[in-house]
Amino acid sequence: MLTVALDTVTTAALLFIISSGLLIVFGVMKIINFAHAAFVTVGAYAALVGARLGLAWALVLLLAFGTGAACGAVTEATIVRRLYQRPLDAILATWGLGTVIDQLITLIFGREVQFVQAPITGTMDLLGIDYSAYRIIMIAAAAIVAVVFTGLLNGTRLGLSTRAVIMNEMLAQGLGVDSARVRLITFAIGSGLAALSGALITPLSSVDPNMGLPWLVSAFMLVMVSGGSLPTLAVSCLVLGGLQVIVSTFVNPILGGLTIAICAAIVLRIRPEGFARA
Amino acid sequence: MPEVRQLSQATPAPIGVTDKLWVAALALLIVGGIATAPLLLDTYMINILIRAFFVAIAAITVDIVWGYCGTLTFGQSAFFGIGVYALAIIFTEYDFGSWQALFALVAAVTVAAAVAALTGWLSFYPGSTPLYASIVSLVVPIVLVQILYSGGTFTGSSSGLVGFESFELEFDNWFRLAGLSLAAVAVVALIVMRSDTGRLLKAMRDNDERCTYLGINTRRYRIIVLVITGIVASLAGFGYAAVGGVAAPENASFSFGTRLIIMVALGGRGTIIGAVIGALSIEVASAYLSGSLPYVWELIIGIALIAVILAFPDGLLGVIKRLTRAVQPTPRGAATRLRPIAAAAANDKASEVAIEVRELSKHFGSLSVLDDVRFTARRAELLSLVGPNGAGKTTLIRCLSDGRERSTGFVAIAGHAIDRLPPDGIVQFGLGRKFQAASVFETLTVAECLRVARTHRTRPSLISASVNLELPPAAISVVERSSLADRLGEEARSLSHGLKQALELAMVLSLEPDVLLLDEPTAGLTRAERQAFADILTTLAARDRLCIVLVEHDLDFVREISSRIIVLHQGKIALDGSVDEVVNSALVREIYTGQSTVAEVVP
Amino acid sequence: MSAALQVEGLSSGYATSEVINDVSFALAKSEVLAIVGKNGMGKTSLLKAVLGFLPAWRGTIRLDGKDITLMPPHLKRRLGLVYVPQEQALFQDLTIRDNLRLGLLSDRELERTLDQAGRWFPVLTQRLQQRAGTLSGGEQKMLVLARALTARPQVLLLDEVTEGLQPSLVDRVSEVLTGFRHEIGTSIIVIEQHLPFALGIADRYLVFKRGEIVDSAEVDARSAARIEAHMRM
Repeated sequence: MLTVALDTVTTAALLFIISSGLLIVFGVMKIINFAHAAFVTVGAYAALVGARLGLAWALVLLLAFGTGAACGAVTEATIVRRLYQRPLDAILATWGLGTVIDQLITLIFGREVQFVQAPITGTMDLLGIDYSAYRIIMIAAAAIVAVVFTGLLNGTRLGLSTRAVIMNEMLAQGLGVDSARVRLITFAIGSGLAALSGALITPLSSVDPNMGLPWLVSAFMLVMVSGGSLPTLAVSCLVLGGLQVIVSTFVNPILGGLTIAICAAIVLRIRPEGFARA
Repeated sequence: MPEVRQLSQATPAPIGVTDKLWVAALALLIVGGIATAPLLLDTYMINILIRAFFVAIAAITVDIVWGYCGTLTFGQSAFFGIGVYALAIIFTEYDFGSWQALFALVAAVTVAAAVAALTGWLSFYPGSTPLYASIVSLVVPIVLVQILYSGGTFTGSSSGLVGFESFELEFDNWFRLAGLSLAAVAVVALIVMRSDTGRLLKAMRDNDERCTYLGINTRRYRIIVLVITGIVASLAGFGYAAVGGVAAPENASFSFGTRLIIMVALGGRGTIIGAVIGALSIEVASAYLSGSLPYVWELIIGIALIAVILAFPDGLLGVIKRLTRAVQPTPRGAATRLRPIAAAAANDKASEVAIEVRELSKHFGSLSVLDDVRFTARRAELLSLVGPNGAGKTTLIRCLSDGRERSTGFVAIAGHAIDRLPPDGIVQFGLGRKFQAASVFETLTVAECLRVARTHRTRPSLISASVNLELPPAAISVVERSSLADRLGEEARSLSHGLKQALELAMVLSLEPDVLLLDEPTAGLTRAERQAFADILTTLAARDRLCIVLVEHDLDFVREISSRIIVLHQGKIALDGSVDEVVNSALVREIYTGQSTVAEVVP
Repeated sequence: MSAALQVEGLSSGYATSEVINDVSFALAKSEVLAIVGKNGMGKTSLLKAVLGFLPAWRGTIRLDGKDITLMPPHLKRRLGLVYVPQEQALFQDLTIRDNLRLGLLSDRELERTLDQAGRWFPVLTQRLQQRAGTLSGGEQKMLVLARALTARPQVLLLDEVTEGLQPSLVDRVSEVLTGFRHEIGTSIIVIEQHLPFALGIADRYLVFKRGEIVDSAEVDARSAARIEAHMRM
C-alpha cells in the first residue's frame, strides 16, 4: 500500500515537472506547444552527453535546462511569434518542429535505446519499506522546481510582469511591460523545464528518440484541467497521477496509461474552463 | 407569379456545354488512366499506389473535417484503423469467406459510426472550443491503440495481425478498384463541398456563432460530418488491409493521424484535390526515400510542414492558384438571380406580445450586472435601449437571445418561453440578432452568405449550388438599397464596414424574424448609411410589424426612429417610456452628464 | 518649445472601418485638454490610436518633439505617456500593492510611491494586500488614478476617470490633478461625459463627433452651453 502511495507521489512529481513548463507557456501565450515532448527528449540526450562527459549530476541538469531553454528561445523567435493569431496552426507548426528535433536527434545519436546511470543507486529505507532512492530524489526535485517557480512568479518583477501579461496583455503593454520579451522568456523557461524533466527521467527509463511522446498527451490534458493555475496543477497531478498508478497497479498497466487522458477529457466536457477557480 | 429579377451579371459566361465537355473529358482521362496504368507501371509502384489510394481517401476525410469544417483532427486515423482491424480480426478468427467479408464490412461501418458519434458528442457541444475538439480527436486514436495493444492474440497486440486470407484479386485489379474508389470519393466530395451544403460547412468554420444565431444547429451538422467521414475512412482502411494482408497498430495511431494532416496541409487544405495530391506524393516519396534516407525524409517533411504553416498556409495548390490567378482572374460563381418570396401575410394569429421579460437577473459571483429587469414589448414597436457604458445593455440582449445566459428570471419570445435553449433554438421562435461588429462569413461571397442565412427555412442542397437566391422582400430591399446587389459575387471580407453591416442585416432579415435585436447598428456608418438604416427599420416596424429592440449610443438616431425608450443604468431599468418622456427627463440628463443630486456609488 | 503631445492628420480604425478621420491637435506642457462628445464617437479610439493599440494609417504623433507614430505601446509608456483606460484598467486578481507596482517601471521607488498614493487616497494604504477586485467601483477608480500619478507622467491620458464616483470624490480628483500639473508640469487629456468636472480643470476643450473634431476653444463661461448644443443637435 505504501509503495503505491509513494509511486503516486513520484509519478505526480514527474508529471508536475513536465507539465509546469507547458502550463506557463499556455498561460502566457494561449497556445499549446506540441514540441514540448521533443524538448523533453532534448533534455534527456543532453543528460546523456553530460553523463558521458563525466560531469557532476548538478551540472548535467543545468546543461539539460540550458539546452532546452536555448531551443525554446529560438523556437519562439522564429516560429511561434508569427502564429500568435492562429493557435491551431501553432499547434501544427510546433508538432512539425517536434518531428524535426526528433529526427535530428536520431541522426546524431542513432535509434537505439541508451541508458544513463542514476546518480544515486540502490534503495532507501523509508517508513519501513525499501524504496528506490532516486525516485525519492525526484520528489524533492519536483518540490524544488515548484518552489523556485512560484518564487520567480510571485517574488520577482519579471514574474509580476508575466502574471500581468497572462491576465491582460494590452493593459500590461500600456503599463510599459514588453510583452514580446515576456513571451520569449516564458517560452524559454517552459522549454528548459521540459528538458530538465527529460534529464530527470533518464535514469528511470531508457533514452530513445520517441520517449517524450507519451508524456505530451498527459501533460497537455493536465494543463487543460488546471485552467492555468500552478497550485491546481500540482493537485491535478496528484489526483490524476494517483488514479493512473492505481489503475496500472490493480487493473491493467495499459489502461493505466490512458487514465489521465480519459478522465481529463470527461472533466473538461463537464467544466471546460478547468479548475483554477474551483 | 413572382417576378424574377436578374440583378447580378458577375460572370457573363453561363455554365453550359463547354464546361460540361471539359469535365467529361477529364473524367474519361482519369478513368482511362486508372484502367491502363497497371500495364505501364512496375509492380513495386503499383503496390505503393494501391496503398496510397486508400490513404488518400482517408486524407480526403481529414480535409473535409479540417479544411472545410475547421476542426483540427488528429483522429481520422482511428477510423481508418477500425476498418483495418475489423477486416483483419474477422478474417483471422473466422477465416475468409463471403459471409465473413460481409460481416467484417458491416462491423467496420457500424463500429466506426458509433465511435464517430461518441467522439462528436464529446467534442461538439454548446460552448465547446475548437481546441477542445482537437484534444478529443487526439485522445481517440491513443485510446484505440492502447486497446489494440492489450488485446492479446485477438488483436495481435503490438505485432498486429498478419497472414489472414483475404480477397483474391490480382494486383492490377486492386489498382483499378482502389483508383476508381479514390476517384469516386473525390468526385462526390467535390460535388458536395461545392454545393450549398459545402458552403454551409465553410460558414460554420468561419463563424460558428453567426450560424447558431441563424438558427443552424452546428453541433448536429458537425457530428453528422464526423460520422460520415468516419465511415468513409473506415472503408478505406478496410480496403487497405484487404490488399495488404497486414493490420498493425500504426494504422490507427495518432502519428498516422498527424501524417494525414501533414498531407492535407502540404497539398492545400480545403480543396479536396490538395489532399489527394499531398497524400499520393508523400506516400510515393516515402516509399522510395525512406528506404534510402530514413530519418532525413522525416526531417524534410517536418521542415516542409513548418514552412507551409508559416509561409504558404494554402499549401501547394494555394501556390499554384496564386500563380494562375495572376494569369487568368476568374470571378466566382455564376450569375446569381435574386427572387423575392411572397411575404408572409401579417400574421394576425401571431402573438401580439413579442418579448416578455420578468425578474431577469444576471450576476457573476457577487457582481450584479442585471437586476430584476422586467418589461414587455409588442409587435410594431421600435424600442431603443440606452444607457451609459457598463449599464448592462449588451448583457440584456444576450439574455434575450441565449437561454443559458441569465442567472434567474423568465424570458419569452413571441409567446414561447426560452428556458435554457441555445440561440439556434430561440431563432426558431422568430428571433433575429444582429451583432455590433458585423458578423458575417468572411470567405464566402455575398450571395453565399445570404443563402446560408436561408438555411433554416430551405434545406441546402447536397449536390448543387443554387443559382436562384430567394429572399424575403425586407432582405431584398436592404440588398438593393445598399448596392450589395451589384456585388453578389464578391467575398464578404473585401466589403467596406458599412456594407458588411448591411449584409449582416440582410442575412438576419432573411430569417423572416418577428423579433429583431440590434446591437449598436449605426456604429461606424456614414450619414447616408444611417439614414438608409433608419428608413429600413421604421418600415420593418410599421409595415411588417416586427418588434425591434435597438441598443444605441447615438441619441439623435434614437430620438428619430424610436416609439419607446428604455433607459438602463447599473443593471436596472431607470426609465421606460415614450421618446418625449425620456428625452426630457431630469433623470436621464443626470445619468448622461453626471450632474447629479442623486447619491451615486459610495466607496 | 515643442508641444508635449502633437497629433497631425491622424487616421485610424479597425480592419475595414475608419474610426478616426484626419485628426490634428496639440497639447502644450502643463495644459489640460478636455475631449468631449457623445458615446461611440471615437474618443477612446483616438486615445488608443495615439497609444498604438490601433494602427496609425496616416498622420504623425509627436511626444515632446519626438516622432513616436510607429513606436510600440510599451515604449511610449517608458517615455512618460501614461494611459488610464475606461474599462479593464486594473488587474482584478492582483493585490492593490502589485497593481501600484505595475504603474512604475521598476521597484526602486516603490515604498515612497506607496506612501504618496496613500496621501492622495488614504483608503488604499489600509488595504494594500487585498485583491483589487474586492474594491468598490469608486475605490477602483482611485487606485487606477493613483497608479497613473505615481508614474509622474509627462502626458496623462484619462478616459472617463470620474465615472461612477460620488461628487465628493470627484472634487478630490480635481484637486489632485490640478496640484499635479502645477508641481510636475504634467499635460493632461481628459475624456469626459461629466462636463462640470471636465470644464472645471481644463484650459481648452475639443468636441469630438464621429471620428472628427468639430469644435475647439478655450474654456470660459459660455463653454458649457456651447458644448451642450453640440451634444443635442
